[in-house]
Amino acid sequence: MYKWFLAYQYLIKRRIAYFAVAAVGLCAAMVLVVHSVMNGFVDTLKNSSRKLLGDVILEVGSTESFPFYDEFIELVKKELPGQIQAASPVVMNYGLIKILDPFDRDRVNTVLVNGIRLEEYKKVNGFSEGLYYDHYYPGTTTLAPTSQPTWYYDLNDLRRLPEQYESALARYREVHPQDSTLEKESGLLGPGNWPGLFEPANNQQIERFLDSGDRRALEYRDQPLPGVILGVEMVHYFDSKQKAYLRMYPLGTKVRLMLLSMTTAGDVTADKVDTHVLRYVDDSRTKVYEIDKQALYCDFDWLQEKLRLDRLERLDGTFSPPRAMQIQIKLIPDADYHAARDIIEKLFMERFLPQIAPQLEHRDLVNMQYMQIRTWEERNQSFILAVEKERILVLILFAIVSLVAVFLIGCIFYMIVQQKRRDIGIIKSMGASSRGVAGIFLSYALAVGTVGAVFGLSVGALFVRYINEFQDFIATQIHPGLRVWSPETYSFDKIPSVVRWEDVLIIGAVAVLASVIGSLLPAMKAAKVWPVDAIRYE
Amino acid sequence: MSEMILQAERVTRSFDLGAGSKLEVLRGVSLQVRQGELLAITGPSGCGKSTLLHILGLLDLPNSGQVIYQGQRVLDLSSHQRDQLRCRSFGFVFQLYHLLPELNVLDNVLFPQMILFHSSSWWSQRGPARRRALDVLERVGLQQRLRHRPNQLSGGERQRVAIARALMNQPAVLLADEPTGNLDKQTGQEVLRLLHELHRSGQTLLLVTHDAEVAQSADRVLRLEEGQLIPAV
Repeated sequence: MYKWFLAYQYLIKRRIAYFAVAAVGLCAAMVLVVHSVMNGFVDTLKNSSRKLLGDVILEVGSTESFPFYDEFIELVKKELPGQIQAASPVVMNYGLIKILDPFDRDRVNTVLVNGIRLEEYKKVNGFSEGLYYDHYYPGTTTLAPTSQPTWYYDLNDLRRLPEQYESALARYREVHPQDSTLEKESGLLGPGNWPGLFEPANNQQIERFLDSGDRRALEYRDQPLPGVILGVEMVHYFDSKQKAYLRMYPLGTKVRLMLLSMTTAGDVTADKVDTHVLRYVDDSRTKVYEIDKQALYCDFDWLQEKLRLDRLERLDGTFSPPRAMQIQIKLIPDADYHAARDIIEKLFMERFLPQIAPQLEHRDLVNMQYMQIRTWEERNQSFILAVEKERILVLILFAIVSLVAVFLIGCIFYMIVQQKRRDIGIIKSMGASSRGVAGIFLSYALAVGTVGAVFGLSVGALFVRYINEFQDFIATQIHPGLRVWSPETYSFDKIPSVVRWEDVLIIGAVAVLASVIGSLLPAMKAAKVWPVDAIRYE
Repeated sequence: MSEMILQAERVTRSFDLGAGSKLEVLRGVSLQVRQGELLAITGPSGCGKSTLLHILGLLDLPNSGQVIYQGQRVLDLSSHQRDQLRCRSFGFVFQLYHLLPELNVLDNVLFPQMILFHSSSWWSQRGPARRRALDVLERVGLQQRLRHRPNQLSGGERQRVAIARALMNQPAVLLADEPTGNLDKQTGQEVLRLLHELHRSGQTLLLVTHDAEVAQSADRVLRLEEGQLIPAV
């Protein structure tokens, strides 16, 4: 009993213990912050990559295409009844785009062009969650050819958006009456507010309206062009005055796309460079910076045609089947996608491939024998594993740094034992054993470790909770250069973090243990104090 | 004649001074302390009085010889057994009081009881221990200073707290090492009076002092000279 009693008295009455508490606390906080941010990073990475793809992905390579994709999708749906929620083919290519801004704020970007069947694609992954206009104006985003939507004044002098957008916004408001982001998103509100995300109707439109009396003349202008969805990083910028990301280009802005010319085998050809003009119909935010900066989405059939992957007539008069580069399959919720992957692989290799083999060219047959059928986790494994390893490495490094706390506690306790030699002698004179004296200092260390861990973990958890606000405060109030998190470097626009209770408990336990270990040698030294020496030399 | 309670047999103790030289402090000291006796040991400073007291109180070990407590050869006991015996049977009063500075008066006095009782039995013993501490503190006249820390007390008060602490486990032998050595004459007299009261109530007391006046009041006085005990003249 006296061990705990004296340890408690030392803890509350000896200021030097506060340094030990602070050392343990800071180390615990540091490890918790690093661990939580790394956990958050890995989790966000997993979640983001989860939303980028379907549950099971089939592909030969990054640019090699394969035929009979629709036939295989049909077969999978038939053979796995009730298991498949959606499946969709994708074609891909690389290119350059220039956004043809009316105010000459041109941007040229290298892009990864994805040809998608929009409605299907929205079902196979989380693509729809990141669409900006489709969120507030549900159902308006299409990759089919469209003219530029415009706003205008009605007879009551109110600003109006095209009917399609106003009714979509009304539907959104019905579903989300309390959405506070609507208030922030000025320009989306239509009448009564400046609809800055839309171009105003011009004089030609007004004249056409006056001639025809057709309201649609005020709602759209220019010839229809195929739609394109751009990664959000291509279209927005950070406005330091408003402290918000704003979109630079109005909806319907033209985009010139230059596609690499490729063969069906995925080879780059030097025949010619294809350029096309499309219309910006929405932007996509996956929260993965690299993708939001590079990815562009256009219509599957359109891109397939431009890449000459559609149904083509051969020299002998036969037709080559249309081709895709990827199939994404979405399973029903809670399905075992590893098991489903195995079934799909078996289905492809053992049934589908032998069945279509007679119709395949030799090169396709060879390629398709090496078809990679992977779950979303497996496809991103190398990327996720690298970050996982990075997390472990960083954790080990910080744990090593935390060893400093063990030494610090050792030093502090050594000092305490030196200062308390006389007390040790007195306590022994009252009958305390050497083990009991060591117990006093170990209990003291346990108390220091516990208080330090609780303090540090609370501070750490609080810091992690407000880490982005903290960074914003430092960057805006002190110096912008102190903004340590760079979306360009880390892929995500905000510092991700996850505090897990089991981690908190483990870090706390390790902090307490480290504290006790740090005090072991001083406690042993205290145990060895010869009481007569301690009392005599007072 | 009353029963023998503590005995030293041919106890020697020397200190290594380094470079091969030794200081022989006790050279075969033999001593007998009877139950209820007030025995004073005198001698000049540095003659080994405190060393003898520490050996008798099991705080230190002799180089040779034996200490016998109630017929038990204590040097044959394990370290842990000696600690337990010290806790139950001996109470120390030091010249410099040696109170624990972080604890208040009551906790200082209670502390030997905390050592005596194991954690599990402490909670059941806590009430009686506290009552006993209050009794002992009342006996030494400090019942009004329970919450004071040692640095808030005078020298005499501190020594009285030290005496109260030494009495807490109802020791068979109270060992006092120059108990008045750090006090003014009047305060020293008060402390001495307190020790005599204890003696009168049957407490065995072994007093080490270089003050002849203090020693005079003892039942028996021995003088330590050149490592040997001789009856004082």
